[in-house]
Amino acid sequence: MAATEISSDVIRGYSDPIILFLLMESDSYGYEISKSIREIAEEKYTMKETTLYSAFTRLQKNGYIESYSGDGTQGKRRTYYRITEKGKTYYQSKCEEWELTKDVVSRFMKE
Amino acid sequence: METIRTYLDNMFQTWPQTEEVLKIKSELLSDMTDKYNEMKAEGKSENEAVGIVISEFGNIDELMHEMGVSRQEEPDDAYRNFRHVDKEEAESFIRVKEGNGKRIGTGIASILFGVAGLTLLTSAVENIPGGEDGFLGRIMSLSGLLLLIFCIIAGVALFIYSDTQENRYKYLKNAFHIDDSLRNELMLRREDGHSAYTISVIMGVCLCIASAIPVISVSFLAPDNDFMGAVALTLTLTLIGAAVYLFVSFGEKKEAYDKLLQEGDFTIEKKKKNKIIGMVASIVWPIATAVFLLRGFLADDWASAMVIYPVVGILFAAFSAAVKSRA
Repeated sequence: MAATEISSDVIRGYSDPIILFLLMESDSYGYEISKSIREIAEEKYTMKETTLYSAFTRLQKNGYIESYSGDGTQGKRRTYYRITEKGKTYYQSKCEEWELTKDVVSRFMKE
Repeated sequence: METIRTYLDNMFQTWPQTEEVLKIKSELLSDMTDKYNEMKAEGKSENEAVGIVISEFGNIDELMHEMGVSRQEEPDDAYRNFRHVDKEEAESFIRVKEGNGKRIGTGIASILFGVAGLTLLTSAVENIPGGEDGFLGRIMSLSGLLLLIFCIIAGVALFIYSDTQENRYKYLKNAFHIDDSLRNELMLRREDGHSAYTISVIMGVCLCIASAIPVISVSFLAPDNDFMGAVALTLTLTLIGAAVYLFVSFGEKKEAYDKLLQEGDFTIEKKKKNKIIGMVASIVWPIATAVFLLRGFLADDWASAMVIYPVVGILFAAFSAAVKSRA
């Protein structure tokens, strides 16, 4: 059976670093971030709206990101997010965790 | 676009409307609006765009759980007393309403056909050998009347049958509850049918306006020719019949969706007003028919007796518009 979709269980654990990665490039807001994710993933993955905002809530609660109000591309007031120093450290640790996960799991995967 | 807004309202309906929740809701609306506009700009259809935006919404429980918000208790309790309407019931209700639309439309058209037939036959009588008092004349007058009676019986039978069909779903007049997924599906389907509905209303209105043409033309071109007058009336009635059929058949279908979604004319306040209009209609139209028959028989002038219908029709439309607009 050929896989056509990414496993949502696996990627759910990585929605935080995915968003942080984009925020390290520049501050951004909801729609812009979900659009970038789709573009970088080349349409292979689309983050659901509720998953995105759950992540914003969680990241903010943990102090990894901060929000402020700014003007969106279409002139509407939007909530922008900015990554904090704590967030950058957390991102690094998630990258290391992923390397380890990849290393272990790939030992059990036949090409 | 309205569908997206309603969808979002429904999703948030059973959750406490705290400041934090409302803020996220408005962000979500902005996101979904941007996404929708972008897809429209790429050339996607209204339905396609709405469908994709809704399918990419996700799961509201996940978000609320993360925000530490728990569901409001009260509406849940209230829901428990509501009758639950499932997909199967909703589908059969829609089917019945679609059938009723066609039946009621045909019923009205049938009565109009009877009136037109009677008018034609009675005015044709004068032009045949022997005139209206000859044997053939009497036969024609009689058959005109029989035709009208038969058409009225057929029409009324269709009305009663439709009414009993719809009566099985009487409980939809009270508050009821449907699942979110069914609500979404119904909303998308109503959206699908919306342009057909709009076109049918426009066509119906155009037909109504055009229906004046035959009568006006004859009154200018052959004002003294009774038979031409009757032909013109027949044409007018045919056009009105077609318009009514369009209004009723598409109207009933739309009504089915509005009723199931408890929107439009089916909020409690509007339901009361519809009752008033229905009551007045049940008095006014039989009186109009009585006047029509009396004048037709007594003055033996069916063509001018017919005038009562368009007059009452316009007055009645004005009356219902006035009742509906009263705040």
